[in-house]
Amino acid sequence: MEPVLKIDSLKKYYGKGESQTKAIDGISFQVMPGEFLGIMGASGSGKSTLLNCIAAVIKPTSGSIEMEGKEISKLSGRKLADYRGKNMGYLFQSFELIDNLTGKENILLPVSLHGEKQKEGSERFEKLVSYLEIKEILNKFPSQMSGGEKQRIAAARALILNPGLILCDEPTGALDSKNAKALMTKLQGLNQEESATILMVTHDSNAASYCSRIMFIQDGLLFHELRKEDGEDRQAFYDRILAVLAQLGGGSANVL
Amino acid sequence: MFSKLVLRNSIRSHKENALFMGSLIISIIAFYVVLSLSNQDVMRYLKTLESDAIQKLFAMITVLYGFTLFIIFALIYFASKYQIERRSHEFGVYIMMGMKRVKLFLMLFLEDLSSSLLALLIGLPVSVLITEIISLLTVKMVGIGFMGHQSTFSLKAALITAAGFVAVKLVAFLVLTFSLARKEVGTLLADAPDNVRKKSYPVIQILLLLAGAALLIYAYILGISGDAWENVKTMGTTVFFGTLGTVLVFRGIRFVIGLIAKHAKGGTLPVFTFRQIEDTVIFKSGTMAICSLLILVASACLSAGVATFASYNMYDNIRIDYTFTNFFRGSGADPLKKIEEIGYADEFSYLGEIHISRPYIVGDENYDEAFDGHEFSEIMNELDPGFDQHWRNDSLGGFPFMIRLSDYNALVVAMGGEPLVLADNELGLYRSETFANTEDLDNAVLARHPKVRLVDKEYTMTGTMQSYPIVTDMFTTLSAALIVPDADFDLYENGYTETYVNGVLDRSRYSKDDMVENYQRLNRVFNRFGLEYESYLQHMGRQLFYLVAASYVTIYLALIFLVVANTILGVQFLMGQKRASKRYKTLVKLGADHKTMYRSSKKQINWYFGLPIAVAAASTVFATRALFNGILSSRTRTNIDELLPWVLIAVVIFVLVEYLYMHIVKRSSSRFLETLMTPEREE
Repeated sequence: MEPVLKIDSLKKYYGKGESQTKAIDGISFQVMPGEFLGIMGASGSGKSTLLNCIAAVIKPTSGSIEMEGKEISKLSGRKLADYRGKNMGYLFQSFELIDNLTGKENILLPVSLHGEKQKEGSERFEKLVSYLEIKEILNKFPSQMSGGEKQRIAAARALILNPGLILCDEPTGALDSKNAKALMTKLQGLNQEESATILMVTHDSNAASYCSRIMFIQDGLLFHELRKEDGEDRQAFYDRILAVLAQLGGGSANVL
Repeated sequence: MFSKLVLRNSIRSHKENALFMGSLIISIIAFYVVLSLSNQDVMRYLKTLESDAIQKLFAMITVLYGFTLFIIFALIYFASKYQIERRSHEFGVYIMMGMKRVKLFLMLFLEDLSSSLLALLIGLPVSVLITEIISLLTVKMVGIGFMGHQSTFSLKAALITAAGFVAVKLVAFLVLTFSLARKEVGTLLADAPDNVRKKSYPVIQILLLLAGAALLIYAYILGISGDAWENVKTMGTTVFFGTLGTVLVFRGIRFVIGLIAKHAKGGTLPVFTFRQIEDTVIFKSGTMAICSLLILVASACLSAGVATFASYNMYDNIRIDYTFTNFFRGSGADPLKKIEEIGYADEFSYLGEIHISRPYIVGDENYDEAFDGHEFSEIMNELDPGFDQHWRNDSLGGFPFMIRLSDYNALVVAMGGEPLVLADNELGLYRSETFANTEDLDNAVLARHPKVRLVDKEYTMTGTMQSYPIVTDMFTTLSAALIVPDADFDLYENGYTETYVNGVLDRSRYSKDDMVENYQRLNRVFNRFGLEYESYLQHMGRQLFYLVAASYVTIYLALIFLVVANTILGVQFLMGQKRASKRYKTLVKLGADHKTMYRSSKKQINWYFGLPIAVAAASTVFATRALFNGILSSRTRTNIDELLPWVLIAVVIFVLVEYLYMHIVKRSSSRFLETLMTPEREE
C-alpha cells in the first residue's frame, strides 16, 4: 500500500550562522491511508513548522514532502492552491468559519473555490450533514452557533471535497470537554468507517487518545512514537500518552 | 533612530496609500483653483467691465473658499482616519515597548508634516498647471482671445493655499490623535471587532425598499413636471422626498443583495462575494446613500454647469449693440440727430427708433377698457388648464403694451431676422426673452387665431410669438405686448410713448476680435457727448458674469463633491476589507489564490461603487431635466440638441473619474490581499 504522505529528512532552518534556529532538524515519517496520526509536542517543538510545511505554507530548507506521490515543494500558483484545497482538508483550532456566510455556505465554500461540480458536492454534502448532525444549523450564521456546532460545520467544510488527508490543528483547543469528546468521536468514526486519513496536531492528551498512532516532537526531532495496540482501550492508551508527556516535561535528562 | 522611524513610516504610508495621497493633492488643487480665480484671464476681463457683478463674484469666492475648507476637512479627516485605524496595532506595539504617548504624538505629527509637505510639493505645481489650462480654455471658449494671456500664478494664492491646507490637516490631525490618545493599549492592539449582524425581517426590508422607490419616483415626477420650481415649499418637498427615498432604498436594498447571495452562481466565490457586498449594504447603507446623493449633486452640477457654459454665446448674432435712452415721443431730445451731428452715424449699419406705448380710449383716458383679450385667455386655459391663473391674467388680461409694427420689423431685419407680416386687422404677440418660456403654449394659442378687441376694433391675433430683443440690455423688459400696425398704433398711443433709439454696428468695419475695444472706444465718445445709452458690452458683461459664476461654481462644486464621495466610498471599502481580513485569511487557508480573491474583491468594488452610482445616475436623468426646465432660458432649451455633445463630455469626465477611483481602490485592495497570502499558522 502506498503512503498518503511521505516525509523524508525534512529540515527547516531559520536565520543564518550563529543565530540559526533549527525548527525541524531532519524528520522522516509516513502516513498510510486510513491512519489517524497524532503529533504532540511542547510549544516551540517544531510541530507548527511541520504543519506549515505539510500545508505548503512555508518551504522547507531541505528534504521532501510527497503527497499521494507528488512532491509538493515543486507546486506553485494554481496547482498549489488546488493542493491546499483539494488534497487536504484543514480543521482549525479557531474554526476559521467566515462569519457572514451561513453554515451551508461555509461548507460549500471549497466547492465554489475549486470549481467543483455543485452536484457531486451536494451528494457528499447531504451525507456529511447527516453524519455530523448539523442539519438544524445550516442556515444559521456562525455568530448564532455554539463552539461545537461551529467545529462540526468546519469539519464538514474540511471534508466536502473528500481530500486525501485531513489536517487537524488543535481541533479541540477552543471546545469544552463535552464538545471536544463529541467531535473526536465523529473524527474517529470518519477514520474508521470511511477510512479517512487524519493527521492531528494537539496538546490535548484526551483528544490524542483517539488516534491510532502518536508522534512526539521535541527540538525539531522525533522524540518518541506510540502506537495503539490491537484491542487496547482508549483509557490505557491515554495513560501511556500521559507517561510520555511526563518524561517530555522532565527534559532531556529523563530521555527514555 | 527616531527620525529614521518617522522617515521610514512616512515613505511606507505614501507607497501604501495612493488614495490618501491623491486626496491630499486634490485638496491642494481645490484650494488653489478657488484662490487664484481672480487671476484668470476671464476674470481680468470681467474686471475691465467694471461691473458690480464682479464684486459679488469675489465676495462669493470667500464663501466658496470657506465651503471648500469645510469639505476638504471632511475629506482629509476621513482619509487620515483610515490611515490611523490601519496602524492602530502598530501604535499599540510602540506604546507597549515603552514609547511615551507624547513621543508617539510627535512621531505622528512629523509623519503628518512630511506627508503635507510632499503633497504641497506635488500639488502646488500641478494646481498652477491646471489653473493655467483652465484659464486658456475658458478664454478660448468664451471668445475673448484679444485679452492676451497672462500667467495665472499668484504667490498670495499659493501661500493661502498652503496655509489653509496645513491648517485643515492640523485640525484633522489633532481631532484624530485626541481620540487615539484616549484609547487603551489593549484596544489599540486588538484588531477592530467584527460587526455583528442584527436580525432584520425581510418584510421590513421589502417595505423600506418599496417606500424608498415610491418616494424617489414621486420626487422625480415633481422634478420633471416643473412643480418643484413653483415655490420654496414644493422644492423643499422634492429634495426631502428624494433624499429620504435614496436613504430608504439603500436600507432596503439589503433584501435584494441577500436574495442574490442566496442564489448566486457562476464565477468563483459567488456566495462569498455577494455576502461581502451584503455586509457593506447592511453596515454602510447610510454612507452609500450619502455618497449616492453627493454623486447625484455632483453630476447634476456638472451637467448644469457644462450646459450653462455651452449655451452661452458671447456674440449673439441677433443683437442690438446700442440703445439710447428712453425719452417721450416728441419731447425734444433726439439722440438720432445728435449721433449724426457728431459724425458717428457711419459706425452703424442700422440706427432707428422703436416706440412702445399703452392703448387708451381717448376722451375718458380709460386704460382698463382699452383691451379685451378674454378669448386668448380662454384658449390658453383650455390648452393648459394647470397654467397659473394669476400669471395669465397679468400677461394679457389687463393692460398690455403696444409695439409699433414697422419699428419692430426694421429692427428685426437689421438683426438678420424675419419680419412679422400683419394685415390691418391683425395683431402679433411679443414677450421679452426672460418671459418667453411660454413660447410653445403661446404659439398653440396663436395658431387658433383668437379674436381680441383693442379700443373699439376687433382683431385676430396671428403669427408666432415674437421675442427678439427690442433694447440691448435692461432699459425695458415686457412680459407681454401687442405688435400693432403703425396706423392703429399712432391712433391708440396715449401720448406717453417710450422711444428708444437702437443701433446695430456695421460689422464690416471691424473684426470680431476687436469687438470689445470697439465698444470701449464708442462708449468714450458717447460719454463725452452726454448721450444716455446702454451698450451690448453691459449685456455681455452680465451674461458672462452669470456664465462664469454659474458654470465655474457648479463645475467646481461638482468635482469637489465627486472627489469627496469617491474618497469616502474608497476609504470605506478598504477599511471594511481590512476589517474582514480574517475572512480572506480563511479563504487562503482553504486554498484560494490571490487571483481568485482579487476577482471577488474587484466584483465587490464594482458593486460598492456601482450601487450608489446607479441610483445617482437614475436620479441625475430626472434632476438634470428638472434643472434644465428650471434654470435654462427657452432659447437654450430649444437648442438642447446642441447641448448634447457637452453633456456627453460631462458624462465622459464623470466616467473617467469613477474609473480612476475604482482602479485606485482595486489596486490598493490587490496589494492588501497580497499581504494576506501567507497563511502562517499562529500559535
